[in-house]
Amino acid sequence: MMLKPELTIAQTIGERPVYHMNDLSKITGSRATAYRILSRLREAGFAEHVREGHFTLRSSLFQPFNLWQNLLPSLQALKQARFFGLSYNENDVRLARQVLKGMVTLDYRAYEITQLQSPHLFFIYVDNPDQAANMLKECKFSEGTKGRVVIIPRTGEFGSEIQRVYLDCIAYGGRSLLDAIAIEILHNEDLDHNIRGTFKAEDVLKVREELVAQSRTRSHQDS
Amino acid sequence: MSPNLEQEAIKIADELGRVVFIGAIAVNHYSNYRTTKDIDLAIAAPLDEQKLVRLGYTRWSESKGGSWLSPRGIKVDFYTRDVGRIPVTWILDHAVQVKLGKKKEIRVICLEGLILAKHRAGRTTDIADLRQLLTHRGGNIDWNLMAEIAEALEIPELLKISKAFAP
Repeated sequence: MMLKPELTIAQTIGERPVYHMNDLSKITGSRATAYRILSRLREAGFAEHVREGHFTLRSSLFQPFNLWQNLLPSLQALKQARFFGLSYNENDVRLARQVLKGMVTLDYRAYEITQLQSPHLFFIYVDNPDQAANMLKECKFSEGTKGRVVIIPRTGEFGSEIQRVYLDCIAYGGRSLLDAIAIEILHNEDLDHNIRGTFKAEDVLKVREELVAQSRTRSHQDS
Repeated sequence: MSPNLEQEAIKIADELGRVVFIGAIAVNHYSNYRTTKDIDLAIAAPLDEQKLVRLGYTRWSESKGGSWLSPRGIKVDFYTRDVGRIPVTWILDHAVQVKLGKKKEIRVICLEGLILAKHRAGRTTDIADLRQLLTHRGGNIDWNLMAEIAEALEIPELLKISKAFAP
């Protein structure tokens, strides 16, 4: 899939919790164009329908256009995410780790790498989502929208694990942006210097402070 | 909420008395979600810095925002005037009691205050928190209470957002 620069018009809408079609129409100038743009954004994985003309946008939409193509595999994988739950708590993650084989990304992997934010959802890339889903169902997991175990299909480049987790965090957006910043600070040398996200100064400062505070807490606990 | 953060919240409440937790601890009370390991507190002005020092708190000179470190080394930010233009006195008066463990209790900002503060902050992470809160707790908002702190134009906006995320 190729993303066209005309879609960047949606960036002028600004970051908000939810949008209505009317918000997009005001920017595009016509309702027809708004529907066309939204349809492309949904196809790419940037936008998600909520209800009755409302939709949400991932914060990754507000990354520079030249990064979009690098985010596309992550966005496409996230679009096909399937959620599973059994006890709907940390036990589900422990069990899923034993049952599933694949590459862990986002919350849990970012936490292992950075220790910045407590994890919530267990995202794991699998080669065969149907097979993985059946394995979970055999362990009495139910598929729905609220589970904490999330299987996503392997899509795109997996050459460097850190690089992929970094791009996944930017693509997912929201709180994961803080993970991406922490990865960039802690693993700068492992990342491709030509493929970098753009972050707000206040978020970078927050992450820097958190990481320093964290190392102090650790040394405090050690002493 | 992680057990460590919970323990830290209990210790801080024991040490400082009438405080209200407003950040990650509050978000996690209303909906289990991702948090960093810092603590945000509303406390009546003026902040008694001498008492903090006596209790083992230290000013964190490297912080841009005048943060403190608790005696256990956890970063703590104190709000004494307002949180997102919501007066701290209102936050203290409308705080919600939360049981942690068997006997311990702490106080967190009420849902309406938290939602409005997140809405006004409007940063990427606040928007993510707001979506999470409204998806899981949107139906519990007391709109009369919200009207005490929100501006006239904010109420329809918040109603619209809350309706969009209602299950």
